[in-house]
Amino acid sequence: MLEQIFTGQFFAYFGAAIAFLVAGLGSSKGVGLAGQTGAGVLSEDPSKFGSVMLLEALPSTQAIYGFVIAFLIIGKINDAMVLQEGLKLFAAGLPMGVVGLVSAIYQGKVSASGIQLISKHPESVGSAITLALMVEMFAILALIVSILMIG
Amino acid sequence: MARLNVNPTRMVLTGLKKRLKTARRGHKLLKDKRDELMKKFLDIVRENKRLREEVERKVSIVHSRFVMARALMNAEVLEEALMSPKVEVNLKASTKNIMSVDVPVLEYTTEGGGEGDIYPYGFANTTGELDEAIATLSELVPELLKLAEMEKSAQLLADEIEKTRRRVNALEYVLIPNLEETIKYIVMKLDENERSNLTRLMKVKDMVLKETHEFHY
Amino acid sequence: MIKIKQDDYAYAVGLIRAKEIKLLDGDRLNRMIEAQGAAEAFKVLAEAEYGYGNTENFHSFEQVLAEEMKKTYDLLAEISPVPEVVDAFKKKHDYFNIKVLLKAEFSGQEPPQILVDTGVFGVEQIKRIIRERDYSELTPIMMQAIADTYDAFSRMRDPQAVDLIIDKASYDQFVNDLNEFDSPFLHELARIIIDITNINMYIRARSLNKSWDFIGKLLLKGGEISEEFYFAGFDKPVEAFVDDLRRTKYGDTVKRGWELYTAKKNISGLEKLLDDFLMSYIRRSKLITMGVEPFIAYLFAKETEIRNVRIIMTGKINGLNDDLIRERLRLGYV
Repeated sequence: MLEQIFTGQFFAYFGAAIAFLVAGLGSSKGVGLAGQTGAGVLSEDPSKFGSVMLLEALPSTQAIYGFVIAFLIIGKINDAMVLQEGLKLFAAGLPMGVVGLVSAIYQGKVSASGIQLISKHPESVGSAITLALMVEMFAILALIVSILMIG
Repeated sequence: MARLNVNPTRMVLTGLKKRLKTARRGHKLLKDKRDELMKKFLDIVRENKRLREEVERKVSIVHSRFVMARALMNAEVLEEALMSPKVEVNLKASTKNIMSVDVPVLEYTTEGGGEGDIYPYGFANTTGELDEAIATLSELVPELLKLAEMEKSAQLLADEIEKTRRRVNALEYVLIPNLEETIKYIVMKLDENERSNLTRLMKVKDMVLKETHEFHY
Repeated sequence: MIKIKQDDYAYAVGLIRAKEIKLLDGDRLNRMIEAQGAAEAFKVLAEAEYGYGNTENFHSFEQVLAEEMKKTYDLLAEISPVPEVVDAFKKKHDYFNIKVLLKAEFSGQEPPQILVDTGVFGVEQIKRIIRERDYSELTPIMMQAIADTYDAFSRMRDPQAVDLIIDKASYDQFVNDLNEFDSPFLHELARIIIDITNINMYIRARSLNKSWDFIGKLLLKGGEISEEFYFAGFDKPVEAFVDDLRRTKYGDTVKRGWELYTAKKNISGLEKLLDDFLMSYIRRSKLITMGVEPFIAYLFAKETEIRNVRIIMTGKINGLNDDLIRERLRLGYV
């Protein structure tokens, strides 16, 4: 019975689900946080919409990376998959999922802070974005690792 | 100078002379009183000036402290702090006699509030500047009362001096000269009478002598 | 324990950061001080959108400041994810109203028009509560304080007792409320406020030669410095007490304030330094991007700003010179 459920295919799907689900959760949280702060700023000064939106959108990349990984994993799945192969794909989903989650949340926080920064100094929108992009790097590394693992 | 409208008789003359004497004595007394009042008045005015300057200096200190307290506290908080007083002041007014002038004397007693315990508010939400304003103001109350007392005394004395001066002047420039002139007039009139009497007598004597002489012849 | 989740403050902090730009900074306060006369100084307030636009006549500046305070509380109440936080800071205005109403009752006067509408309870509501003696809506500390006040006043007939009891209860309530939240920032804030109030009151009372009996009634609970510390200092001259404080974080501040006091015989320097000490603690929240800290900091920023504006306007109207005004200005948040 159990062997019928825990097939290679199951683990591969599970990996894809984690890659997108967890990274997506992180992005939602991050974008949500930045969005709330942004709404606060905009309620006082609607003219800053452009830069606020840019910063708010930054944490959503993790979900996109998660989606890419999930897509790649699903592309690898076939009916005659052995358990080992499935587990490998499952493992490949993990870096993107976990790193995506954490980096998206923290990027959200940095973005929120960046929005607070530009509310006071509109000219420093460049530095605010740079600061938030620093966090992006880890998500990109995770993306690469996951892609390499999928092979 | 107007002469009094009297009958130039000897009796009136005696009466007038008596009046003149009284007037002269009254004049001297009133002059003395005026001088004494002046002296007292000048004393009070000098003291008053000193006290007023002192009070004004302190009032301006109190004012500036209140302004500070006011600047550091909400209008509401300040008003609440001073809403009900801790110390009650009872004022008793009586009078004192200076040279037959009744001047006021103010006595005051405080009720409630022990030694230096004059602050009717809590300390947590008030500023220390208010303490100083209240303390200075409370030191000021006796001096303010003293000042009120003195200013009123000075005013009453000034009135009295004015009245006395008018009386002295009336005596000096009106009554006494009038009396003197009337007396002079009566004396003159009486002398005149005397002289005309004498002339008449001499004339009568002449006539009588003439008659006797003619009788002889 | 009321939970405070940092992330819940995302919207509030964003809004507050945008609001902070409008706080009067040193430049604008300077412009007010250097303005020719009160009317011109007042214009700066109109530019800063103070009050509800009723900024025509500078003689009504007190009203404008009251409106600005009300505006600030309303804003914070509106955006606060945890309403209790704002209420904790509003309750001192309820205690103020209670104090006014009780004093009015004791002295048989009509309640004057000085009740403030920034409390948790509305003006009419609190009037009714005190008039009908129906305290069921009040907090337990309020109820106890009112009962104590009636008791003390009937025995001593001393209006100061009203202030002492209600003020103390007000701070007790504040400490209690802030300790309810799981925020070390708020706990520390309560301790600092109690300590600086205590130190100020203690030195004031000592310089007025008050007895320990009286000082004991003044001192508030909940600070870092214990009542025993003050009691131990009571036998010694105030200098020694100031010296003993050097081991605490208030040491330097109090020492400088005491030097000012001995030099000028005026306690306002010390008061200013203690206020500034609190503000430098509050200023740390500038570095915090998420949480209750910037939120509360804005309230203090506004309170201090309004205080500074009042100092300047009163000074201008009464023709004080600029140095005298500057000397008393509190450290601002921006």
